[in-house]
Amino acid sequence: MAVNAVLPTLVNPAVYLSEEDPELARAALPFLLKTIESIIEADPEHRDALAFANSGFVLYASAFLQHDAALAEWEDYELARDLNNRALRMYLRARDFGSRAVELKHPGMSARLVTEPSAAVTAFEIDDVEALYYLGGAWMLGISLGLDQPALVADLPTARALLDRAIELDEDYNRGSLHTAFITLESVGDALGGSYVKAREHFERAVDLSEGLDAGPYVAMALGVSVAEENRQEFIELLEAAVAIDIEEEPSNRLLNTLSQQQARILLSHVDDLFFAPLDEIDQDESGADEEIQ
Amino acid sequence: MIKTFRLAVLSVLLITPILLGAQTARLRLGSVLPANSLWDRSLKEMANGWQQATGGRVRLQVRPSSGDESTLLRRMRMNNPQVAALSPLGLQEIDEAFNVFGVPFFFESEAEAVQVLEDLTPRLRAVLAENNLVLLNWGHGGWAHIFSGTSIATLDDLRGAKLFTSAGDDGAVNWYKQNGFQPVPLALTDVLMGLNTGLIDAYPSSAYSALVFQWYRQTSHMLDVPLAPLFGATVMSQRAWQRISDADQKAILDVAADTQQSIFVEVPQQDDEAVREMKSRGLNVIGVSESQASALRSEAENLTASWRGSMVPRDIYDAAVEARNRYRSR
Repeated sequence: MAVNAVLPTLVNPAVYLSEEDPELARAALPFLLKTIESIIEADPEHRDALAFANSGFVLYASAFLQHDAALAEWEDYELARDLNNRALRMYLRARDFGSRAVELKHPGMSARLVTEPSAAVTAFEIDDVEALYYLGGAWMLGISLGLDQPALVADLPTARALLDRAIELDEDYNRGSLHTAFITLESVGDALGGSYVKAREHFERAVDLSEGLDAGPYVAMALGVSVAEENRQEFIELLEAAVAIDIEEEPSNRLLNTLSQQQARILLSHVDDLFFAPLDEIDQDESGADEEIQ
Repeated sequence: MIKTFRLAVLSVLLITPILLGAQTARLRLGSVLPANSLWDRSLKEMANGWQQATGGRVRLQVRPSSGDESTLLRRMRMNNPQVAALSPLGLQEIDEAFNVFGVPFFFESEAEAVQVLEDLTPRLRAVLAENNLVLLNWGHGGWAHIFSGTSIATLDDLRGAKLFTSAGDDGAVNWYKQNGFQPVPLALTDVLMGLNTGLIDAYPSSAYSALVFQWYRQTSHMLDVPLAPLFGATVMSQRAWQRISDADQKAILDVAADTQQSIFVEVPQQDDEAVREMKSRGLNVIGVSESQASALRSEAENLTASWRGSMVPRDIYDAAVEARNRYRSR
């Protein structure tokens, strides 16, 4: 009873997402997550706690671990690898909490999601969208970091079905968050069923719904589509647009905007590493202009 | 004055071969392999190993998902990127000699194929050198198996299927047609569409690819007789290679050899795990008896003999047969 009373205050996500100092959020989240795990251990069927553990571990893994790995990978491979491995484990932990929450509301759902994902997700309604977003997100992000694990890869249709159902039910959820997720999902290339054309459509909609105040879609588009299409100019324009967003115009998204802008600046400083020289402009003389020798 | 002195030192570093060991080469590796896959991870481990083994003089940045291999090869010819991890298709585009590993049902086992690969390496290294490329190590994409909508256990069964073949591989398409098969050339990116629309109902693929691309969901059968190994290679442009000191070249090759050793262990394990996962989701693995497998291979050998001199250079084909027979008679 006491836990039920304090939980909504204790786990108010807005307090974290609006934080202007990422280091404070980084330091505070682990304690909160362990507290939530303690609550779940005492009450394994506490749906709100399970749901928060799902979203909280996704936030921690993506905003801090995977984000830090993306920054580190340019200079320190081993650090990036270790951070990504930690992020993967956190995503799977988040997924398991989310599955348990969904199972409480929809008994038998966990098994059906694996065996017949497309049919299973039709049971979800609009009030499930947040759960679908975080469960599908945790699953998909885990798979994307664990492509060397067939057992994880096999669940790709499940993760996709969860997110497909979410956007079908509420496409403007959280001011375009689902569309931002779909930019990355559609950026996997044709062979995996992705589409750069669709990614661009999701980008337009995400920017529209967030009124251009979310840096996330710009970074997702630059990394997912511009790099794949070797569109260097677009890449720079998108990241410069992300950096130019006034964070104080959308206080509720301060944390993620701050981190996205940080990533955008790093990416802008590595443009030459991310793009090959255009085929018609490559210097073919013997100076080796494309090969840096110091 | 100081600035002039520094420039002079820099010039000496750039032109004096004896000091090549002090240079830093920042190289890039392109590949069609997806980020965070086993192959991408191995390449990044290799890049990290190069940096450590050369004291930071050779740095390699791995860029996964670098578009299609034809474009990648065009770029490589212009030394941008300087390094590439190539699939069998990329290698076959460089030279027909690499078709030798794609001869259907030519090899009976991993050990046999690896032995032939080792025996042929000097010849294939020379083929790459003729194309201004230096072989750093061999890659392994697993083994192609036949996946199909209905059970396929013989070549006659396979003749009844609409079989995906790689677009642009006219030699293979013609060979299949001449031998009574129904090849359907498609781009890799169109396989899923082809399966969904019924344009194809069978395809050769590694177990991992069938899983990650989700193709197996339209084709619930896999013939448990391996079709061909999918050997790739990591190569560097000679232009970049020549700018690296002898000592660093050796260090690079040592690390690359370790990477090869790992990948040749891990990829077959990954394929085994992929098969287990697909089986748990409804894939039927069509096992055949040893005598049936022998009959299938024997019939295939008669048909694929025509590859000699047409799709595979005679000397390479003969060397492969000789190496294979030598392995079998041990």
